[in-house]
Amino acid sequence: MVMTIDAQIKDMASVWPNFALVGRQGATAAWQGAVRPLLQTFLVDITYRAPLVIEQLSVRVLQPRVRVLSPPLRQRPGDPEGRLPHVYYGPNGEVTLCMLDPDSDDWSPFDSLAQTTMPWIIEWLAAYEGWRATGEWTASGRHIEPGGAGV
Amino acid sequence: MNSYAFAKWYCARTPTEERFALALNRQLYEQAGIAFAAADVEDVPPQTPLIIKSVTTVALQLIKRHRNIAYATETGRIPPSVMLSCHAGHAARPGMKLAQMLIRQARWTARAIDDAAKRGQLLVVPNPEFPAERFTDRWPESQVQQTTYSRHLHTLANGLEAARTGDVQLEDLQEWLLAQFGDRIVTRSIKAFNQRLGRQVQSRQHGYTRSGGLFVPAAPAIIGAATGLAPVAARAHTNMGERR
Repeated sequence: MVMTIDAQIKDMASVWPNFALVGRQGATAAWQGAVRPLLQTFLVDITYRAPLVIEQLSVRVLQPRVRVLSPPLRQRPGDPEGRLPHVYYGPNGEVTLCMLDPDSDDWSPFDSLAQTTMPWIIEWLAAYEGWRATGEWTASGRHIEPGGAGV
Repeated sequence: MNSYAFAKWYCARTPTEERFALALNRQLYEQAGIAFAAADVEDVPPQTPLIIKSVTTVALQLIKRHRNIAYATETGRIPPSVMLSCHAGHAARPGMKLAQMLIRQARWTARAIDDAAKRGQLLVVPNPEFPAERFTDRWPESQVQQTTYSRHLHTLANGLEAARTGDVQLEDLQEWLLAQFGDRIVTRSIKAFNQRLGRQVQSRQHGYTRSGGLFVPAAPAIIGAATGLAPVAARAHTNMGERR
């Protein structure tokens, strides 16, 4: 069963009490909070709209939007992983983390953000720090290439 | 120098720390192409003796390396190894973590110098087994010499404490450590750390603290048994995204 936004809010408050609900409009909610995967504290924003049962939208569209508010992610142009690994770029250049394969069973609106998105953010940021320090991305990963094929 | 008695004194103060010794020595032997899968130190075959037995000794090696980097361009005398070993023996406290022990040894020597300097004297470190013998008979030769080294050690300890308690990114920490300990040891350690982190995350041998930290036990453990962790068991997933 699709988790309602109320259920997501309740779950987030229970598991990650340091993440504050900063916005709520209809079925859309936004949370902000700090995580410290290794030694750096990152301020993160999660925005999510819970779909209606009758909606048939793809995970690619439904997936929660996760942005790192501070400190800014450091880019490395020319890196084989891309100037930032495993992100989406919005029309205005805004960066959101991509932590799931929309064509697999990684995630669906049936899942709790507290049990999936939140821990995946922590893993992504730890892998990002390792990539910045060593050039090696050690978490899972696949890229969307032009033409649609992933490698 | 009564080095035999001093060596015995040092060994008595730095007993084998089994968990640490086993983990570290297993790595050392694996790097040399020798594998052993012992559950306890007692099970390590006799042909593979433990090379390093205590946190104190590893911290001492790092203190010496830090000194070597700090004085790489010096032509005069530098703080003697035996003096640092003696302070390490005094500072030894089995069970401490490596970073804590490193800070403790750095502060120990720095404070000994500061105390001597306040009295207008030069640092004196006697052989604990033969007090008439001074490990500091050739260094320090002046106040400037000893206070310079004290500053180096305080800077090291301050930086390590800031890294543990403050906000620092791994790559910035790496840069700072490079300046303190040189390239080879730091780059290799950070690379090994990153790879171990990746292996443990991908095999789901990790947890999450409630404050958003990644918890990766040093040895395989039942994650659920660790206290202070968020009640989350994230499943495997694939990081995707565009490559620009």
